[in-house]
Amino acid sequence: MSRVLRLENLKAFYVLEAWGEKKVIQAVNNVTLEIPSNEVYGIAGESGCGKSTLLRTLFADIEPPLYVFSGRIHYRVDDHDIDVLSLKSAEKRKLRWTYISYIPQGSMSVFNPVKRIKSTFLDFLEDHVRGKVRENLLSLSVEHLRRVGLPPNVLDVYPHQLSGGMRQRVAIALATLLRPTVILADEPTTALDVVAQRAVLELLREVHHELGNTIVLVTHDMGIHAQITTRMAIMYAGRVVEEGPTKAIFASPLHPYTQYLIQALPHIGEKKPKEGIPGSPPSLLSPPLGCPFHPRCVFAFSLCREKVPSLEEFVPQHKVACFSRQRGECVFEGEKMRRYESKNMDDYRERG
Amino acid sequence: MTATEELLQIERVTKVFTVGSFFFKTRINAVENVSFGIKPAEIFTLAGESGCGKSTIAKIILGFEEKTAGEIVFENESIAHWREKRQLFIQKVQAVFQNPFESFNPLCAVDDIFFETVYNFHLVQNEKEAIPFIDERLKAVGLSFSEIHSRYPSELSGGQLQRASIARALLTNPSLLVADEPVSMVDASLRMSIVNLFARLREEMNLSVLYITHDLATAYYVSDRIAVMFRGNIVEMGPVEEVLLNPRHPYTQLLRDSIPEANPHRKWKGSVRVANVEEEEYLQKGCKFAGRCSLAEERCRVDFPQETLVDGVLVRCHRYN
Ligand SMILES: Nc1ncnc2c1ncn2[C@@H]1O[C@H](COP(=O)(O)OP(=O)(O)OP(=O)(O)O)[C@@H](O)[C@H]1O
Ligand SMILES: Nc1ncnc2c1ncn2[C@@H]1O[C@H](COP(=O)(O)OP(=O)(O)OP(=O)(O)O)[C@@H](O)[C@H]1O
Ligand SMILES: [Mg+2]
Ligand SMILES: [Mg+2]
Repeated sequence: MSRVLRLENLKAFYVLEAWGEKKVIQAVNNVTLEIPSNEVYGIAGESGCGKSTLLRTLFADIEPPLYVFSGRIHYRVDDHDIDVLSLKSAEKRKLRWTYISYIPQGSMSVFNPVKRIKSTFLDFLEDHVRGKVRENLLSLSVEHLRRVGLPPNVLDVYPHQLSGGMRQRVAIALATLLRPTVILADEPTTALDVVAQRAVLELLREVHHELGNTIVLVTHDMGIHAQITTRMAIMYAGRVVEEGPTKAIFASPLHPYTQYLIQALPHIGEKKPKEGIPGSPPSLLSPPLGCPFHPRCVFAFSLCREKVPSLEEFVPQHKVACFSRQRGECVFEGEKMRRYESKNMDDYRERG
Repeated sequence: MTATEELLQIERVTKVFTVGSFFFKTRINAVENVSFGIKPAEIFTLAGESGCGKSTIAKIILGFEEKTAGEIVFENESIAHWREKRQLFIQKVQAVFQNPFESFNPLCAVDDIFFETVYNFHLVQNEKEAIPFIDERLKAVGLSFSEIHSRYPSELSGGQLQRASIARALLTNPSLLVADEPVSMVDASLRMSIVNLFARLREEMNLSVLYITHDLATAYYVSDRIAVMFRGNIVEMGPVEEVLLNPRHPYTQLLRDSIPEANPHRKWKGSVRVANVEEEEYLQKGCKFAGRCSLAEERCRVDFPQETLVDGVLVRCHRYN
């Protein structure tokens, strides 16, 4: 399995200073990950746990108050490893949009409000291509817009004249235009109805099949992860707590947070009360000592309050950062778990 | 209260926008003859296609957008009269906007906006009372005062901002909350906590909610009734159980079938067709869904379907006439 992206011990923190008081927000805390090429890779996790910060760091868009304290990010470009954090800004610019493209969260508000959509497109293309190619790309952009259900004349309007979902689709059309190898998409479909969402995800998937590229998709919608990602990482309080094939994560989630998350999903036809996870999300200003989930975890024991568990392989391909799980002492709905695990092994075989 | 039992009544509201450049102008009926009512202590969902006019309705209710025609009545008084009592109206009708990144002034610290609200509405006397008051509301959405204290909107995550804007809207104990996609940026667990909070406030404080969402599973879970919109019209409206378990309008059926199931073994079947040209559908004569409907007949392309009541559900489709 070749990889397109590797991060090692990445720490990216926000440092805020207010009235002489210094606050450090540990948004991405010691993350080590490998993202294979030709994969739709999902990232899920609690609100405020650092997913957007991780994506911003992957795009090498690091500006104060965000600082990288340690770690590396390697992209595989033409059989070479490139450490993006050590690139000069001109080199970064060259890589952006053509090699890595990024759909930021809230992309519905990224357009310049006083410019028509077309001039945003042209400015964007101006930076990368010229002349004939540019015109071809403009007509390609009309094609991309059409595929997500937008008429060519959205190019002639101002952003405020489009609904939230329309703007989001324009942003996606823009990000897929230059056939990038890696697309980082942060909540790209939050403003869309399920039909348009499906059309957008199908466009992303088509682009993915056509180019054999990698899409890193951050979303809260577990349904989307189930539908289109093949592997995923679950984040909690700045750390990756679970990582593995999507099917395995749904069939037998290993981390207690993931288990809660999957159980909390409401289904149409079901009205019985469901609760969110008891307790509140940890503040990244002063995360709890030890495992960040321990204050809300029913399996926590003394070690969990003292040390941070590292992400380790528990079954082939499927990693978890949880002491009780790693010790095999975690018997979450014992019977059900065992059944899931055997089904899980079938999935591994299925994947070859 | 007298005449009606509705808290908010929307009557035949229409909104027309003109878009396009100087030479190529089109008029869009973003909202067309829409009527519905929300009862006290009711959670009412407004769902439907992106760009079908949901936010426009919310903005008209809140007074940020002028309606082209129709009437809106809140507590048995026309919205026009409420304009003279703006402060009281705002206290009673609060909003959570669709894009949390745009709903806070980027130049103000988030907690300042909270302080401003509690002082403006005389909810507390001084800062000593204000902080625990604000903290309590923030705790209900999984945040705390210390997390927003002297932080600017750009320094919070999407979901944190969204939760902060819900907490802020609930400060004044409104009787109606107009919530435009209030949980689109939070995870399933927090999403449940927030919709449970709506349900609790409905029980305890008689709060009504206009819940605008694309998340039909939470809509099913918390709301009493739902209206499904398509291109400016309500195409189906009724109790959530009826509409979502047994959808009658072909568009509602398409919506239901497109919900991404949280089960990697059950993938979407086939592929979807989105509108070729969104605006053309808006301008189309007859049923606006006809171009994509597999059941469409000749009359669907010619005549605009009227609403029919089928088993307590309003449906706008020729098949039920
Ligand atoms: N510009 C910033 N300055 C200071 N702190 C920030 C900034 N942006 C984000 N943070 C903080 O860093 C943490 C991680 O934020 P991030 O936006 O990465 O979360 P997220 O996982 O994307 O959340 P969501 O799902 O709600 O979008 C949060 O606690 C947030 O308050
Ligand atoms: N200020 C405006 N000028 C012109 N057209 C507008 C304006 N605001 C909205 N529209 C148009 O009105 C229609 C309805 O927009 P609205 O924002 O109400 O949709 P929505 O249902 O909230 O969609 P979404 O789910 O994507 O947020 C869209 O076609 C949009 O382009
Ligand atoms: Mg985010
Ligand atoms: Mg909207």
